[in-house]
Amino acid sequence: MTALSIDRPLFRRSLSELFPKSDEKLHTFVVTTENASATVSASPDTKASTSSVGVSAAVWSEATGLFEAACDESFYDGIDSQFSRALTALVVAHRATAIQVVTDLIVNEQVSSEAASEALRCVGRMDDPFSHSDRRWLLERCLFSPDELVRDGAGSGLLALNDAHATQYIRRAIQNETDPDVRFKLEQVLARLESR
Amino acid sequence: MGFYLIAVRWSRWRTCAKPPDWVPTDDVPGTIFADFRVDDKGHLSVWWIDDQRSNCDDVVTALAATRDRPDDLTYVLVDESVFANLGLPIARSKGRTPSLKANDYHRDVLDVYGSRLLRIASAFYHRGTLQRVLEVRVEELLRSAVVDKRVDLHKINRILRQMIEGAGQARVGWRERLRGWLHWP
Repeated sequence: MTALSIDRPLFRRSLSELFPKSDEKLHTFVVTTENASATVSASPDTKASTSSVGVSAAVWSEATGLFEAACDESFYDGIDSQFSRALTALVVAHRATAIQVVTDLIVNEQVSSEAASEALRCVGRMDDPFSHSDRRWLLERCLFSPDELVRDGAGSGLLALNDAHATQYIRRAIQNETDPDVRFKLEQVLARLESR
Repeated sequence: MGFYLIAVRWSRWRTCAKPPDWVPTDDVPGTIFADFRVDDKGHLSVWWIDDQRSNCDDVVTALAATRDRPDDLTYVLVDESVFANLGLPIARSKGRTPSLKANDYHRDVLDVYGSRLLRIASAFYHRGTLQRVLEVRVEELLRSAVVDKRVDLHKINRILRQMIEGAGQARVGWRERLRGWLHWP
């Protein structure tokens, strides 16, 4: 069995609007076959990268399983969840590969917004320099998600990530933000990042 | 008259100002029950806040100090008179947080059975005030409580303690995290 899923045109359009500097087509797609899957993704602030990364079917399967199981879990702020622990362990084991799978699942809206929000908080807290730029890309991208829970999670993740690179995107996100609670949070995150 | 406070998750309660269409009038979304944890004696933990809300920061700090890490802390306040009108039996009981002061503000709602829990949940959801203390502020409160020795450091999760005591936003490495999870010394 072979499946090909390409992200929504809306996603490509919004990326182009948000990151006009990029002069190449921005796209993310996932190819899944019986034995393996591959991911191609683009960076928001650099030229689109089309490097294909072989992702083992096991990582893909484990990540999707984690997100499915997360639907049955209740999350509590400030408490490590089974989901966040398992997700962290997955990234420890597979690093950037795992982050790319998580990115595909979240950006293509294949997971629940609650689980995505929890994952983004977790992604920001991870202490893994090798996947730092991939994690930052995901968090910056999710600032512009149509779902306020995802945007909220991205704000928390960026606060934990503590990277001033995100300030330009947070400023833009604040201008676009429609939810007053999320906007206030992003303002606090921006103030914290700018003060460092 | 004061207020009663429970800590909740923002994502489950953000709809309280405008409940979803699928929730019948005067009812509540089922998801909010995740924030009401009744113990095996039928006690529901709540916190008493004075009418000036002068002890609110103490209670927020106490609740934040029971967690694994600094994070947003969302709570709902409901007027004490609402609880009185519901005829709920409430008893003082010592809180079990690392806070030396806030534990005195802890209360138990007694004999919490199903329909009573629904009435309590409905009171918080429809007549409560949702407040969110963001992580940046929670960190400040925790750090200040540690400096002023208002919390028992030995009762705080070790990873959280390191984050509070560390300069700025200290990062905790994988080894430390795994140690914390596995309860290694």
